Amino acid sequence: MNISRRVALAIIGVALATGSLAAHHSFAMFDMEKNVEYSGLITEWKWQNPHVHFNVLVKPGASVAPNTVGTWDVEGGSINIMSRQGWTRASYKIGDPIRLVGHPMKDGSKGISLFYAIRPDGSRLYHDIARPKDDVKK
Amino acid sequence: MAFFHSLQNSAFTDWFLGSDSIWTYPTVLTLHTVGMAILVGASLVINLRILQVAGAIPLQRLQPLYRFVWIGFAVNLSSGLVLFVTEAADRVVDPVFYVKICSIVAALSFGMVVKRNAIDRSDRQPAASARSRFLAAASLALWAVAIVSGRLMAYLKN
Repeated sequence: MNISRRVALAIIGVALATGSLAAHHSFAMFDMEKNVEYSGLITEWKWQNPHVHFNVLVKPGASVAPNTVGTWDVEGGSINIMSRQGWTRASYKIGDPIRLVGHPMKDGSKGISLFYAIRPDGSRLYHDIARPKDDVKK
Repeated sequence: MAFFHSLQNSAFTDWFLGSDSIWTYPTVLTLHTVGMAILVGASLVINLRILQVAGAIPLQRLQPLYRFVWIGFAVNLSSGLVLFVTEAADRVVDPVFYVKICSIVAALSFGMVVKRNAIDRSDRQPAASARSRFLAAASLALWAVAIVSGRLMAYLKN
């Protein structure tokens, strides 16, 4: 009985000692009240579940806000959620230019929660059913 | 490590995660949740009874519940293997993943000891021993750790 008790306690102890959990990635880390526009080139395109991911390289330029320069990891929704908004696997590919509005990370690191992409004709491809308060049916 | 990278970057992973069909990732993830409900649900009933909840039910009557433990485990082992393959390289370096797997192995092992010592012998010994009650309580706690760590994996990953 004592041995099994000791073994059980040891296992529970190990299970509870989760160690260093350095990486974080949840929607709570994004500043959902803040909408920032980014213009750049797609450098990675992952059309996959549970979240679509792509990277955007924003180069410095006269009309580019300096705080948007760099390579950003953009997180979208699931394939099904984005498909219902009109996205497809072929919406973008590596090397394509993209304009998008997203919610940046609260801690200032280079992650964005996608809000919508702006297509060359000015129409919007939304991430999900959320719409901005000033939506004008674009 | 190269092996786990090759799994994560395989054509299967590309197809499984990139498919537009509701029958791939969403279905397997749902099966993983349903299997968990069956496995942990049956374990919860057994362990609570060992801890004298609904003490009027004879321990012998719990025997058929082990069928559900194994059905749930089989569903989750198979769906879990598929989910693991698609992010193998990330998971093998994820401490939370090991917490989850160790908790499941320990909870199941404790459950089997309880079955052998308390339920299979209940015709001779109608009440569960203090040791069985302790293992049942530990098993309940370990299932909780397994579920919480499983969920946390989605929020703490790189």
